[in-house]
Amino acid sequence: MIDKIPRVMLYCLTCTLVIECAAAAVIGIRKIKDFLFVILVNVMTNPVLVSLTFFIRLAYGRTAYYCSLAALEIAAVLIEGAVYKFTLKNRINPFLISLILNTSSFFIGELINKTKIPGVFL
Amino acid sequence: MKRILPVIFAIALVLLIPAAAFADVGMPVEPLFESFVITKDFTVTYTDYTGDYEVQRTVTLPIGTKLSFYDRYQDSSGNTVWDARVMLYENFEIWTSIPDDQMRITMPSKEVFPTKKAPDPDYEVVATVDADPCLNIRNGPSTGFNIIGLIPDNTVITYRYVYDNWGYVTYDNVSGWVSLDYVEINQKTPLKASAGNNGNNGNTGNNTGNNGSGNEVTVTGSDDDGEDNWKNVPKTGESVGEMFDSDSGRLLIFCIIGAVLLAVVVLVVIILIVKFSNKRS
Repeated sequence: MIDKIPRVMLYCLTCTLVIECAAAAVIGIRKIKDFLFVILVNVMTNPVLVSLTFFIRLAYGRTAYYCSLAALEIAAVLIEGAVYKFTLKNRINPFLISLILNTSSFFIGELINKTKIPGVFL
Repeated sequence: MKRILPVIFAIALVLLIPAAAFADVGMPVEPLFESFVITKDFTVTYTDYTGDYEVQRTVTLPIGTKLSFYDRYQDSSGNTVWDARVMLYENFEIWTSIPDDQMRITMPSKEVFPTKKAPDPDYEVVATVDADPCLNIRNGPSTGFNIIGLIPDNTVITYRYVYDNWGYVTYDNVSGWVSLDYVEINQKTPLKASAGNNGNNGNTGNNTGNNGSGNEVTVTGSDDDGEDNWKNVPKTGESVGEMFDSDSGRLLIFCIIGAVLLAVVVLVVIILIVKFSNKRS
């Protein structure tokens, strides 16, 4: 799998973008420009998170991986919330938007991961 | 409601990660490292489920054995181990746990089994099948494996690898394992001579050398491409290097650096968009 890491990162980013855009539509984001920011913010955080957690899993094992995953997910929520604060013109708290989007993408991502269909997913 | 909603989502996110960790006790679908080929002697233990009982077996993996590493974790004793799938022979794989201290994986350096070179098979055996009407070829060295071919009685077969009184043979384009209880050995040819080569690396001609155990061997061959093709022939007892596929760690480092650079670029783009929007408004 490590030889396919660029493919894994691309796959994770694509899934995250699709899920978070759908979740953003559900919570009331309507403007194209706001969707663009949701996409850009995830392009900024997702590859870093995926590659770092992958590295930690290999270098330090499964326990360290889940600890780092929790820390990095929380960091991602805070960073994305901070960016949304300056970019999204929405009545909802930007940190709440970030929390909702990240929780939904993590949850649905885990579901997809546990129900892999050979040939469709990695 | 506005205050409760963030709390609910925060709790959900915090609970999801331990839940995912709990669900991740099975073997990952994809190996972390795959198709490593052992270039040195390495002994592992595994559980054999093919008989009526679960039996703990120890096996020394021969050179050329393929391994795939699936996960790294701490076992019940607190030792860090790797889950590995081992292609013991063609069509015969085992699962084993390899303690972390028996292999070295650092990023982005190479992965090495720090043990000495294993011997090649000692003999090539020519034997005659003594099974009426025919002998089963199975896809593993036990009656628990499926039958994948048949060898008629009185057929002459050749094998090199032996495991638990089962021999690995190829007959009629089918490779697999036969019970050696049903063959009569005709001839045993020592194979040790092929391991030695201390001679010159000539492009064409005869190389004569000593394999370290006093047996002089002669290797005859021609080489049209001018490359030093003899240099990779291992000598008995010599360390022969690392598993290949050692660039994988480096690739991961490049991906992390690439992701960080991408994040910086995207952040700059976001700042520029916001500034441009503010100017326009």
